[in-house]
Amino acid sequence: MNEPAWILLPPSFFQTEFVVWREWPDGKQESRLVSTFTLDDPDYADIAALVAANKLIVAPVEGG
Amino acid sequence: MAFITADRVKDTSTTTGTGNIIVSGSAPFGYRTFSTVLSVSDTFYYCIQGQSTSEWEVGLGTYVSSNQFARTTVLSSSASGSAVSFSSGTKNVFITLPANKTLQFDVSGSPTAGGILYGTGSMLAYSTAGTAGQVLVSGGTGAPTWSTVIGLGTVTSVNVSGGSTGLTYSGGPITSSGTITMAGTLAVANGGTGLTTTPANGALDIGNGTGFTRTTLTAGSNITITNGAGSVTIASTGGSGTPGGSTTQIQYNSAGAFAGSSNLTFDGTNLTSGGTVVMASSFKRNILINGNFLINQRVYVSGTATASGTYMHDRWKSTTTSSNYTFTQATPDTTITIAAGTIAQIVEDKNVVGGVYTLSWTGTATARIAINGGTTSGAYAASPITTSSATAGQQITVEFSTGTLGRVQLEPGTIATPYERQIYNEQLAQCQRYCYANTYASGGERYTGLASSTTQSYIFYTYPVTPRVPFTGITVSSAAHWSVVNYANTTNGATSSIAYTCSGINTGTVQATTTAGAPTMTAGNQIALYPTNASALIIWTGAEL
Repeated sequence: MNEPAWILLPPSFFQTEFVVWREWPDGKQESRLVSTFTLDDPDYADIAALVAANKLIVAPVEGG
Repeated sequence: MAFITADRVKDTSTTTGTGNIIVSGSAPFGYRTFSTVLSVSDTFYYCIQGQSTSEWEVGLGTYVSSNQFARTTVLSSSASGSAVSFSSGTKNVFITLPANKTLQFDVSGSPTAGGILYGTGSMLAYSTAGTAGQVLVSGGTGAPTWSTVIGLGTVTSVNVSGGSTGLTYSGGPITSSGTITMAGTLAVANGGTGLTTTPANGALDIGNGTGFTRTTLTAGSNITITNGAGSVTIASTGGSGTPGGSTTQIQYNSAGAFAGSSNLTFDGTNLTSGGTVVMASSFKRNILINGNFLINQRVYVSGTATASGTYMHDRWKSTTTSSNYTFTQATPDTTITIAAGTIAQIVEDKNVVGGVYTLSWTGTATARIAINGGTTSGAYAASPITTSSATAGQQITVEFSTGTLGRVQLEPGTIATPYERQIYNEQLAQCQRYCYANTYASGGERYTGLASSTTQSYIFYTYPVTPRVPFTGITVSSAAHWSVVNYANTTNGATSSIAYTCSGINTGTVQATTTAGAPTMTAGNQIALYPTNASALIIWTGAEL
């Protein structure tokens, strides 16, 4: 299966960190915290730009 | 069969040729017949002489039958010593004395006075006479001679010397009669002891590098020595040989004596302690988790090729591309067969006390170990493997290559002890420190939360075990495996997505998205996320090593 692209989720009211999500063709869904070390004090727009540029770094998959 | 010689035996024969001679069996007047003195097989010297010819023959005959004999050996004849082929006519046949079988004196006549008879090779002769006191000396094949013995004399003085032996002699020399007396001590070099002291009871001659020291034995620890006249008795004082305490009690040193206690017994089967057993290594000595592959929260499927870094059974991860192993899940222990690649487990630094560790397992797989937070390298080896001394508080990685594998244990020390199995719920809790999974189980799971809109809701989790670090994500088997129910109006509907929201070390939150109207909900409604499919699975990730 081709690896699906990550999608940046909209921030919720009590979230302090950004989360990306993706879904595989077999229905499996993964969501991960975003590692933001590439930017200082990032905001949603910054992360969205990284996602668009496919430069997002997420936490390890760790199976499943 | 015998050799026969006899006087006045004579007969006649008309036999011709060189064969056996047949005699008439009638002896001339004054003679005896052959059969009178011979028996069959007897041998004798014969002579055959033609009465009217010059033919004659002397030889050794063998009497082969009555009045017939064979000419076994011809000694001399008219045919130059060969057998004569006798012509016709009558022959005189008689027992004779052949010349070359006869001992005779030469013409000198009488034997030499005092001479010794000896053979010359063709006849007998007498040696010359010696003088009084001489002895006969062989002349080889010649005549023996008489010789005078040289050195004859009379001993006039006898004495003895001790040389360097340490012995002395007195009383000599003796010129007529007397006694030589020996004294002194035989030296070591001559096989003696060199000692003159009278040995005490139990004394032994003990080598000292140059000679001997005559002394008694010295008793070592727990040994007693009793020296007697001609005897040494050695005994141990380590114990009487009689166990202390009662039957089944294990013996221990109680102030130098054997003793037993009811607090420590062994009946041949069971070892029982009534007190506290203090060990250098605790009973929880296996610092690997899930070494028997009992916990599989991620539901790794047998034979699935797995990317490097991806976890399979709890705490075990692939360390090469497309690693996979096969297994049939069993209770309590599962043996896996690593078909391709390698798998590894990293021991958390907090569980490493330092020192050497021994890795052991069942099966044909081979392993290698990295200590002090290092990366595994080098050759793989069979069980067991002992590490060099590891630094406390540094991760240890064990990695296995292909083969069968089960009951993996890493423990302090150099001895591989039997596999230490955990109580199931304890082993599950150990695994949940690194990974937490929500499963379908019986379908009765309800994870409660609140709706934040008509399509969004947040579900709150309290972890059963504090994770190593806050989880950083979730993996959902399929959103279709989960539904949300609104407790306010009991409407429900399947989720379209479930995503990680946040996590601490005690609680975590996920966000579920549903279709408006299924369920029907508004912000603030209390809802619950629940599994609807036996394969439903939410795995909390990010706490593994």
